[in-house]
Amino acid sequence: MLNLHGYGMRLIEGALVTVELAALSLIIAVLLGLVTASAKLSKRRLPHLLATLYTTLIRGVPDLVLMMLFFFGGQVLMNDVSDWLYARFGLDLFINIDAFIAGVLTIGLIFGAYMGETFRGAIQAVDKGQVEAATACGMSRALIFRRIRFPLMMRHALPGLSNNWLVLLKTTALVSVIGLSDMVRVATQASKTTLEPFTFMLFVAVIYLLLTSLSEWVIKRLTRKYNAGFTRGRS
Amino acid sequence: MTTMTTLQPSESRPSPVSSEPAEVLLRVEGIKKRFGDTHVLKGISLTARRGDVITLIGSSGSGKSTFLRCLNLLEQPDGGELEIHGQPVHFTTTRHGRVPQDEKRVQWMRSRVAMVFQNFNLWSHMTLLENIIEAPIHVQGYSRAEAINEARCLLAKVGLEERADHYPSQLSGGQQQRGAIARALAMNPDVMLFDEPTSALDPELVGDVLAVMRRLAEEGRTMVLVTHEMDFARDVSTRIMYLNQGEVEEEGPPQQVLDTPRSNRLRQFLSTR
Repeated sequence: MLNLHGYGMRLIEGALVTVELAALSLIIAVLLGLVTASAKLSKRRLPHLLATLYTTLIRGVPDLVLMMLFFFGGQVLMNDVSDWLYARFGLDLFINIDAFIAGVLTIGLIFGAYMGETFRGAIQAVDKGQVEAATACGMSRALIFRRIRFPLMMRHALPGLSNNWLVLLKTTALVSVIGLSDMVRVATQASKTTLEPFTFMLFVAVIYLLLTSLSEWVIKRLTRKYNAGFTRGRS
Repeated sequence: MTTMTTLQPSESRPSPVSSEPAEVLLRVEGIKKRFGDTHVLKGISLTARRGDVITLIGSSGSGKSTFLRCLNLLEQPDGGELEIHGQPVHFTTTRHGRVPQDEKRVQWMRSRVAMVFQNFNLWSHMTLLENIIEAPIHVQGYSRAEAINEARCLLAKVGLEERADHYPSQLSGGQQQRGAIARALAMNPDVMLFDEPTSALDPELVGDVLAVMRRLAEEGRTMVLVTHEMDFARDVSTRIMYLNQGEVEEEGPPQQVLDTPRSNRLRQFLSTR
């Protein structure tokens, strides 16, 4: 039996932070991805340009660098802003970037770019005739998106989306560098104190494996749902 | 109308002298459409009264499908007026071109003018039954139970009551098209538009779809259709319009247009059929 030297509870709490972080980041990433994909498919030039800039930047810079840039760089920016506010208006306002929120925003921002690419291909793969049929029935754009476009798109998006989710889940390990007490950070501290890194890292690895296996199960069910009506074997 | 003798609805319609002509359901005036520098429609007008079956014929590129798509605004006309049930659709010019003023009004209008497409376009992630109840529930606000009841009647009408729980990919082309007709009927539209409904079908499946359409015509459904099935057009139409290069070259009752065409082009077009 694993001897966790009393770190068990803290590790479980850390695991919860990891799950919350991943889930919230996923929501932001999906929303950002949908916006990015629509912007990239838009005929207007400005949204297209902004979206291209965004995906190029994010996909071209390592996640770890981005995270430190946003967290530490963001804090410096906030300090400058509050200094300026104090000097100019006498406002004594100190804005402290919360590590959890910074983590969620950064990971959401990074994966929004990847989701954008996934969704763009998926939106393009939807049969225009089926959207037209919905328009011809008098459906509003919002209703068409909810009832027709989104479910049809999900079928094409799910493989890429699932892949992004698994990478995102593992990327949360990076937030330990900005001081967030996720599972990895707790385990690192415990390893240093007890000099038993193998035990703690193994524990963390198993938890990640459990989370990804659970994800695979959910993905399989979602795939079945969004593939309803499509004959097996056709991609 | 239950008698089977009304193959030529034009003969059964009351003469204008004895009573009022049937109510006008759809009226368009001078519809124009341009794609780039090509004038696809050069000002076409059409009035559909209750019970009319108007068939548009013409070679490919004559603008008949584009015109049909303008009738429920899947295509925005660059000029002309459009009225459904006496309610005009107002247009306004923006930098994206001429667009309808009121999107809600357009949605209402589309729900009154149903469309049947060449490629069926049933929603592939829904069963046939779900396809049919979708718009009645989400656009027209019927309860699920009401919509399902109605859908089962319609499925029986098009001969697909056994197929309610099949997905479109599990149906033949002819079955999909009959399903699409049921979906259009479920909105209880004033006018039904058919855009080459049998062109994508294998020859042996065409008959079933035409039989369903023929029954609709006999029931007095108001229909505007684009088709290459000349025998069918002759049998069911109250009026035939021959389009050539974006203009109506000839129009009138089927016998007149098909048997004694006045224009050379129409004569040529008919001889190649």
